[in-house]
Amino acid sequence: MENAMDNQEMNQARAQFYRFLSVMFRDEISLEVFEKMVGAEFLDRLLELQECCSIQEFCSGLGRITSYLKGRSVREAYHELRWDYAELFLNAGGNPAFPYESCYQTREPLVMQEAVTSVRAAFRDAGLCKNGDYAELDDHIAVELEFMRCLIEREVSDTVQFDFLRDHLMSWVVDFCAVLNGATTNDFYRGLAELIMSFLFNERMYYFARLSQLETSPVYDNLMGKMSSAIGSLGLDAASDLLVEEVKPSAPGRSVKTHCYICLGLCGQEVSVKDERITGCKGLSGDPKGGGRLCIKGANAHNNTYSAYRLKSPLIKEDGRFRKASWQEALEVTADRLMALDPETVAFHRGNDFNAWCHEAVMTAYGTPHKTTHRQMCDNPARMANEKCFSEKRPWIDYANSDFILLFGMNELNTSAGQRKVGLLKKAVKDGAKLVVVDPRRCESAELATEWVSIRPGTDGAMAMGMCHVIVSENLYDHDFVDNWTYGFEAFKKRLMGEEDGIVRSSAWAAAICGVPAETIMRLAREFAAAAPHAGANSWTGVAQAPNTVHATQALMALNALLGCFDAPGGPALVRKFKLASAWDDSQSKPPNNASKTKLNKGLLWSGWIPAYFEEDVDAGRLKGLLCYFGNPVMSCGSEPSMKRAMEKLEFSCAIDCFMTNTTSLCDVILPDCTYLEQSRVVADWMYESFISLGQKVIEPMYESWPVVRIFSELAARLGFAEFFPWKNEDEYLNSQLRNQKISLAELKEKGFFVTDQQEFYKYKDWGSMNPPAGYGSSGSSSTGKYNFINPVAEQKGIDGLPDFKSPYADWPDLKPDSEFPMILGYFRTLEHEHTSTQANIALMKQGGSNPVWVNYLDAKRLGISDGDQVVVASPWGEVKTKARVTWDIHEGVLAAAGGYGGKFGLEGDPKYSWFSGFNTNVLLPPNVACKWSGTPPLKYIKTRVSRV
Amino acid sequence: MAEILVLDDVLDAAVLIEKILAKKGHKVHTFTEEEEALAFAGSAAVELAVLDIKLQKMSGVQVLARLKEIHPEMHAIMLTGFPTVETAREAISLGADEYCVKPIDRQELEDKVERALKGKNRKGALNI
Repeated sequence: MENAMDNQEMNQARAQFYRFLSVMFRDEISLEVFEKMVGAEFLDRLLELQECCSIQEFCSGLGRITSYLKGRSVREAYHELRWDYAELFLNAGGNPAFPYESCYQTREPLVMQEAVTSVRAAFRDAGLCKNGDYAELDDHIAVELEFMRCLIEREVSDTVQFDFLRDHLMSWVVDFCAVLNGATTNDFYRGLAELIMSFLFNERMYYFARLSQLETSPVYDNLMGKMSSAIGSLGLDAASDLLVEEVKPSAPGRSVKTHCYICLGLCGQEVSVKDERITGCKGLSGDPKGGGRLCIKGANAHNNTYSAYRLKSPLIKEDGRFRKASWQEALEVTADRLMALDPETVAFHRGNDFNAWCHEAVMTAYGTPHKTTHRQMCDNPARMANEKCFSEKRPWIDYANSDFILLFGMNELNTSAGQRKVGLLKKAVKDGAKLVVVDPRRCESAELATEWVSIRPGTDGAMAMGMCHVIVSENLYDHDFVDNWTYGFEAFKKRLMGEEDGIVRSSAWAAAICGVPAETIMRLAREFAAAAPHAGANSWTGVAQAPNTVHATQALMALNALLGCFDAPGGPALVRKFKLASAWDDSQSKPPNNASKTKLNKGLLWSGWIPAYFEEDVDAGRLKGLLCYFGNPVMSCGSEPSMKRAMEKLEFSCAIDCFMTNTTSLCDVILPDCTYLEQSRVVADWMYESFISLGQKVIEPMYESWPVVRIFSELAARLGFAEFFPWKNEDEYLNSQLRNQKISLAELKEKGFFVTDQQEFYKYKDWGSMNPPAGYGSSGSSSTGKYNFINPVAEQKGIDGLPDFKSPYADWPDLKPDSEFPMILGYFRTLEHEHTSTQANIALMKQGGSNPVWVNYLDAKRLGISDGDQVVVASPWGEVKTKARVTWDIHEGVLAAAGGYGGKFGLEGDPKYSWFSGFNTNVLLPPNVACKWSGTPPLKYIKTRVSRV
Repeated sequence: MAEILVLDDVLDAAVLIEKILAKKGHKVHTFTEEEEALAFAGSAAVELAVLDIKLQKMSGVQVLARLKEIHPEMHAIMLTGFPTVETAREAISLGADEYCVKPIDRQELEDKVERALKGKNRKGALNI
């Protein structure tokens, strides 16, 4: 054995090894370093060292690394490493090895936990802080290793060095190495895992000896000497320092007022920040939307931001796998590929409206006419029924003053849990208001309700028509409102009385269709009429996601019109939002509109791009490219297998998202988006009062993610529209948008919201119209200024526009349940999840980590299924395995499971957390099928059968 | 105070751990034989097991698997003089909270025992 080195040499060797390991993890290994690693100077020394190394794990690690380096061509080995790096450390894969101390303190996939504060304190004590140019987090393994190097090189006392090793690296590196070893079959990274673990344990022994003033191990000294000599050939001294000399005092605690965007519901939110770490979220007192409330999603919204599954840098797919890319490269590839396509063959799908004015403008300038939101898959039938019949897609009921609340397929307690209106709903029921919930499932709102009306899926229109018939035939309606504020009553009356087709829409007729007894329909109609105008009927996706429900929504909304409930105390309120000014100030040029008026898919009422027909459109060559922002259309917009096939057949696709999903994983380029807590926006909103709502940036964008305005502005620049997107920072466009308001941006940041108009009733009487006056906006407008019983769009097209019940399978006979598939399957939303966007949030997944299928007790008994049994749910278009939840709380013949599950990434896709798993009901949908009126796929009307495995 | 089972085939090592943890107020049951430890666990409450990985008849990881069958909620700290990624992976997959390397550092052991037993910061399971 060679002579041991002196202390100084040994310290240099150890420091060099810390740096080597830091470089191996801090980023992709550069080609320059990699070429040196496969060069003889390094590799031969490693091989030589491996021969004589007597530390088992270290030797094994060296063996794996050398076998990787010499086992293939340089090009192949280098590319393999890039792909593996992206999958293991940038979350491009389904089984990542999170390189952060925070993730191992509780073994939960959360970054920026207390470990970060503790690590920062150690840096501060040493007069250092993380280099701001390094976009990774303070407790990243590369930073902690680099810190050890600094401590050694600065000859800080052994006690301080040992304390950091023990309290930080040693407290989590075993878990990290074990996870890394289990997550990859790549010998390079498995070898590194062995190397780092062995090295740190030997370091521990080394410090023990030094602190006890004993001899250090000559074997270890020798090993470090040889490693140092090999590493010296890599020229790592040129690598940038991850720590710089600067004492950064701990940032004082602060609280930021913003609005929650985890479900896009915009409840006021106050976010606590300590040491630049978000530590909690609570409701913003006095905010009109939330009233100081927050649901469990809002309270855990920061756990989406801090989910360890976040995408961190742009990714480009190469040979079927992702590798890291720079923003410049990723944007240039995206722009070039978009420019090479005819914009008329490119679709833009966005799942949210965060600063929509910007991305809409970019895509319009680019020239694609095929832009859509989640609208069609969500509640387009309700929107088509409401937006032109009066002036708002969702007229929330003034619960505080209501005596009778009738909700069809609308589970307010879950879907709007944090909102102030739900607090008011609960109070109203407690104070004696009658709440009737019509739903095939005893949902949470039905639990609260005075009465749960269990109904057959897709038949709400029949029940509502039956109620309208009672009200009209018994002359219970509000003649004054009907005469002065509605259009088309006589035609509607004829429909109710069966004067067109001989079918009287009586309660008995309705009962035969919907399964609700005629007596119940009559009684509810009379009770509703008696309570009016302090009564309201409303619906949401429980109605809208069955086929042919535009007319059904008109029918239930007609109850409000017949009884003059609109804008009455306790009725559905008319919305008015005090409009914001444009983001472009008067001196700035607005981008051109280069999009043609082409409608890709033509529905009876709705025309435009209908994503449910995606595969058909791609197969026909009508669509060749896709830009997808913050959406998961593969899982949500139609048959998942069909959507996936379509994605795979596209010539180009790019996703802008915070997470890898079943959609982003199929794209060619992924651009990492910020969460809403890392960017700002302002909107005009409404919840009884009209108000301006600020979504205020709480922390700086994490990793290499960018705010959406920056992403689209940079993309616009590469598409040739730079001059139209000139903002240098968020305040510039926020100030522009607020220039017509009575509050400044600074004041708004202080308060979070600003009420422009207080709640008022019967506003239409002052307005002289159901439409809000100039300067105010809502989501629709009535061409007559009145409530239209006849849908104006249908009337204009010469098709049926009257409220009614229409058979769900009239246009798609294949949807009709039969002897082989006799049951109807749908999905529902749970309190703890927002569709597919919260499945990487550990706090929420712990509340709901799987989605058993609900089976009615009598159905289960007949089929021999017990609670908890493994079952197969099959449709003519697919099948899934899941667990059964046997319950009385669902209509006989109906199956249901919570939505949002079935992700191949995040907690569901990660084998480390294999107990989180569920299925997507959309895998059972027929491909290329959507409601012919609205374009909505039959998400809650899938014929199925269930059987025990 | 917690009921702690310590299993190490070297009696001195087990006794050392017992001394450290008893001083913190825990009730410590030491064993050098695998069967005796398992028999004890079969009839008594065990909140935490401190197990050496290298034993005479079975491996500590095997003992952990058996103990987890008896006490699924039990916490575990694995000890080893020869740390390997493979044994760490196996131990963590079986639900070990911590992995400690000999020689025992008193402070480290006390910290890890406290963390394993403390509800809020308890480590969860990982299937790796």
